[in-house]
Amino acid sequence: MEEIRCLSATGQLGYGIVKDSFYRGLEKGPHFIGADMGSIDPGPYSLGSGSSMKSYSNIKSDLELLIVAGKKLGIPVLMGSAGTAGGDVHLSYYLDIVQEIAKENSLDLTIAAIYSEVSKGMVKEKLMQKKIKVHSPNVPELTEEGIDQSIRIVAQAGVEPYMEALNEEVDVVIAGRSSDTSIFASYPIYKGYDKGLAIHMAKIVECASLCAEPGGRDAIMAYLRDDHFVLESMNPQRHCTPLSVAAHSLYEECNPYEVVEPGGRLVLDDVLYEAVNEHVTMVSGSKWIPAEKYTVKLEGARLDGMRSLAIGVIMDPYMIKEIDYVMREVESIVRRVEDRHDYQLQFRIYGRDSSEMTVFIISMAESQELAHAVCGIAKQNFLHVSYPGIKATSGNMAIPFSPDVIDIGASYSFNIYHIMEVETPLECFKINYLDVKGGSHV
Amino acid sequence: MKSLADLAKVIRSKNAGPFYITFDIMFDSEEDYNLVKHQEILTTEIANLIFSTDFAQVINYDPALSIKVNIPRKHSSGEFLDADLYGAQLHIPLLNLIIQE
Repeated sequence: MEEIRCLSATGQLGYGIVKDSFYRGLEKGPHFIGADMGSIDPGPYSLGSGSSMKSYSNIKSDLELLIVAGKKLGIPVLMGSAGTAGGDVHLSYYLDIVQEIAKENSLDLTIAAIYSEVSKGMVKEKLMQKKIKVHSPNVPELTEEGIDQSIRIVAQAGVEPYMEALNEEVDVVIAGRSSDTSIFASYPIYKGYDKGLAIHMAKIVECASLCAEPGGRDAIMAYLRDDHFVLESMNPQRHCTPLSVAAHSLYEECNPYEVVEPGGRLVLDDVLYEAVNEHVTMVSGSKWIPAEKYTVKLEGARLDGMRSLAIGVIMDPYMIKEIDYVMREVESIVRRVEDRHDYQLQFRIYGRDSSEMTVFIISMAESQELAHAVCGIAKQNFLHVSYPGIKATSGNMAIPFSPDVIDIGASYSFNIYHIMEVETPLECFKINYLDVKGGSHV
Repeated sequence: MKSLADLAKVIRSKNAGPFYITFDIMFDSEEDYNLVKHQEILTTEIANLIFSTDFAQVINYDPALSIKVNIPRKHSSGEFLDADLYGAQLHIPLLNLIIQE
C-alpha cells in the first residue's frame, strides 16, 4: 500500500455523528474507520458507577453508522474505551448493542472484544514487586488498602492488543480502556508503517476535526505515507492549517514536545507542519522512542459517599452583604441539630460580587439518608436564618425546584492513576472473539 | 498598556488528566508571541503566584506560537470538593496580566 487512509468518525462516539462529513470520508475509500468511545475527562463517575454516561439511543445510532459502513466497504472498524471509562461492564453493554445492530441489519460480524479491566490481585502483586509508581507527585501513593477501595481498575491498552485482534481478520475491534492513540495507530503499525508517524497521526485524529480552524467534531481523514502524513477535515469549512495542527499538541497535554504512551514516548521536537493547500496540512518528523520497560497506565476510582444538593438564588442586597455570616451560622446550626457528625457539608457561592448570587448546598455522607438529612437541615436554615440587618423575614432564597433537596447519588474519586510495569504488552488484556450471525436470522 | 487578553488569540484552561490543569496562551502573530515571551510576562514565579501553587511549569512552544502553563490540581477532577470537572474556567487570572509596550 502506498498510503493508509484512516477515517476518524467523531471526537467521541455516543454524542452523535455529523453524517455528511462522515459520508464524505467514506467516499474517499478509507482502509479502516476508527472512533474513540471514552475519556477520563468526565471524572471518576463512569469508572466508579459502571455507567457509560451516554444515552442508549445515541450509542446505538453511532455504532450502527460505523459498523454498517465498515461492513459495506469491507474494512475494519476499530473502537476503544467503550462506555467512557472502558471497564468490563461498559464493554459488555456495548457488545450487546453491537449484537442488536448485527441482527437488525442482518449482518454477519466477526468481532474482537478487548477487555481492559485488571484484577486487584494482579495490581497487589505488582505493587509488592515495586512495579507501580505514581503518575505525578500529587497522585496519592498506592497501598493495598487503596487497591481494595477501588471499585474497578482499568489499564490503558497500547497498540499490541489491537494488532493481535487484527491478525484474526475481524470486522470490528471493540475495546475497553485504551490509550486514545492505539485505536488509530494499531492498523498502520500492523501494516508496517512508521510507529512515530502512526502514533502522532493517531494522537491528532482521535479528536476528529478539533485540530482544524475552526475546530469541530466532524470526521477527519489522515493519509499516512512512508515519511509523512496528511490531514484533511471532512467538513470543507474546517481547515487543517500548520498552526492549527501544531496547536493541537497543546490540547489536554502538559508537554507539547513529548507524549508518553504504552511502551515508549512520542518525541515531537523536530516535527515539520507544512500547508499542502489552505485546507490540508502535511506533518513529518515525529519520532518514537521505545521505553526500556513496557508500562501501562492504571485508572481506579473509589466511592467516597452519597451526595445531596439544594440550590438557592439570593437577590436581597442585605442577605448578599451578610453571606459569610449566614454560611457560618447555618453550618453551626446543622452541627447542633444533626447528632450524627460523620458527614461533609459545603456551600458553593456563585456570583459573589454581583447583585444576584447562587448558593449550592452540597452534603456527602456514607448513607444517602444522612446526606439528605444534612442537606435538608442546611437548606431549611439557609432559607430562614436571621442575620444582622435582615428586612425579609419570610425567606432568604428563591429555590428553583420542588423537591428542593435533590439526591445526586454517589461521589467517587480517582485513587489510582499510576504507571505499571508489565512483562508483555498483552498481560493486562484479554481478547474474546465472537461470530455474530445476524444474516442467518433473515 | 495592554492586557494578555488584548494580545492573545486564545487563553484557555483544561484538564491534562485528572490531576493536572494545563493553560494555553496562543497568539496569531510571531510579533505578539515574541513580545510576551521575551518580556517574561509569564514566568514560573508569576504562574506560582497567580495560581497559588509552588509547582507551576511554563513551556514556550514556538511551533504554535503558544505558551503553556501547567499546575497540579488541588482536588482531582470530579471529587467532592472539585468545582470544575473539566478545569475549563480556571484561566481567568491570566486574562489581565499587563504587557508593557
